[in-house]
Amino acid sequence: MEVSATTACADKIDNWSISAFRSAGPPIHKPARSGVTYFAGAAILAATSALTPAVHAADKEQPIYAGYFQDERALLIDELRQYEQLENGWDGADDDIAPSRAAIDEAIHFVENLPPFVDLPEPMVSSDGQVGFFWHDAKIYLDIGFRGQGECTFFGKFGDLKIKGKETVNGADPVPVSVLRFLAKVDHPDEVLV
Amino acid sequence: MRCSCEAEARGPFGPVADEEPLYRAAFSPKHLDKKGRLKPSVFPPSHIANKGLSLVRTQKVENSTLAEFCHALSAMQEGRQWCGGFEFSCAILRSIRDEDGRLICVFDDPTKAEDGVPANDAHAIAISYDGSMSDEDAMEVRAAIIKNAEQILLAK
Repeated sequence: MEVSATTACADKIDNWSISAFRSAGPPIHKPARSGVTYFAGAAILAATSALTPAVHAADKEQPIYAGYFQDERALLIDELRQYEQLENGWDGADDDIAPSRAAIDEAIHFVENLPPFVDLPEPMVSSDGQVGFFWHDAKIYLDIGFRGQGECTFFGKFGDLKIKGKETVNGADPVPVSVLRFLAKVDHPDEVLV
Repeated sequence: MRCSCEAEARGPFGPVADEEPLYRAAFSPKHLDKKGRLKPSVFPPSHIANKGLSLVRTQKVENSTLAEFCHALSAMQEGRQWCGGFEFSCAILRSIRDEDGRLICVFDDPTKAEDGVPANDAHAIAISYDGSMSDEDAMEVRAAIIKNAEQILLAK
């Protein structure tokens, strides 16, 4: 019987064995929902608003889709906050490093400042203390990491477009411009960016 | 010459061949995304750069032996849970180069029995050729691995 690894990890592991299940095809990490769903959701909300204005009257101070974006983002930030509970050795080795509060804060600040046109990424934490995000599907791979030292490192590929480097992050610039341009290019591949 | 250490046999299975499949196990549910798939965080940048990435040569062990080994490692520490892993060819790592040559070395590294974990003659290590690599370079290495790896999750 095939089961998800999530289930496997949540259960008693003694009876599990390797290799009875292999994923079909290359691994694809796709965000929980696509940009299409994003804007479809906003469109649905907007349409609903037009039909039932009384229900949405209290929301007229902000964009109609704001709550939708905030909920998704809030869940992601909540997952990052859970990394604060990790202790040294969390990944099973004595020398595993728990992520610093500063690294988690940098990651949160990054995701808080991603523009709405960008699909939200998956969060991740490595046993060397790096906190980060990744986007991965058939077209794009982008990996960004924070160590709480006022900079982020990144590597990404989208067709022939490649991005790689290290840039300063701070309160004024939580998302590197080069990363934003890369994500914008992914979202609108036919547009010329200046 | 970079990676000359690879030619030296340290255990009974000898040097790791290019075509050998290698397995990287994940021991925390934190490495699974919402759909139960493994994240790039299974490959910490500093392990690729200077600590060494712990791997298993899957052609040198039976699946049951590998499972026994991973279960034993899980049992060593509270909170450790074997969730699956990535399998990929050694050639992927050895094909990563700059203008001066190879960037990642892969060599056999048999481990002794310790704290209830059986000895593992099929253990191997991957590490940057000079033990020094930037985070962004290591992130490019893990992207290359993930692009070419197969996820092997657990099944009952």
